[in-house]
Amino acid sequence: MNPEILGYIAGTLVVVSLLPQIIKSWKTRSTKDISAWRYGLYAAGLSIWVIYGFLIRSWPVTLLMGVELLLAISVLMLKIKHG
Amino acid sequence: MMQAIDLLGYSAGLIVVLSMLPQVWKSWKTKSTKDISLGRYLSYSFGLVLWIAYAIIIGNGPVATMNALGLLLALSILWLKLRYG
Repeated sequence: MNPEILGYIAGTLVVVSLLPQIIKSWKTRSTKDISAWRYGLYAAGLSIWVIYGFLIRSWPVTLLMGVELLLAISVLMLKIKHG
Repeated sequence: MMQAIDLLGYSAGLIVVLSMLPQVWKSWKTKSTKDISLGRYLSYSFGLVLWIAYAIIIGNGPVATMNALGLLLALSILWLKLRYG
């Protein structure tokens, strides 16, 4: 097996893993146990990663991290909204 | 020698990994994790295991180490979630 495939599966799983949190926070409208710092720093790190992916011209990294960033921002917005 | 661009990549990875610390601290202090999704940290941990395997196969030590640290923190949150529900 091409190791690249394993990398893509791992990356996709990490990105998709944010969905259960978004669905849960969206449905319950309760986010008090979630750390705002966790998602704030997470989004900051992912933003740098998107820039890095762009600079090294790696479109899979840029796209994957871009989607992860959007999902992390969604959790952060739910946290800001529901406190 | 590490290039500036590599440094940018590693800083990004490190911030992403360390961003879990505030959550570990908060959950540890409040002993309340009901708003945290179990599925999130289960699938995240599994994804990180695959990423470590990938980094080992391609022989990238820094990525393997960073994701191992990430896995440790993700498992800590998972453990707190299982403990406090």
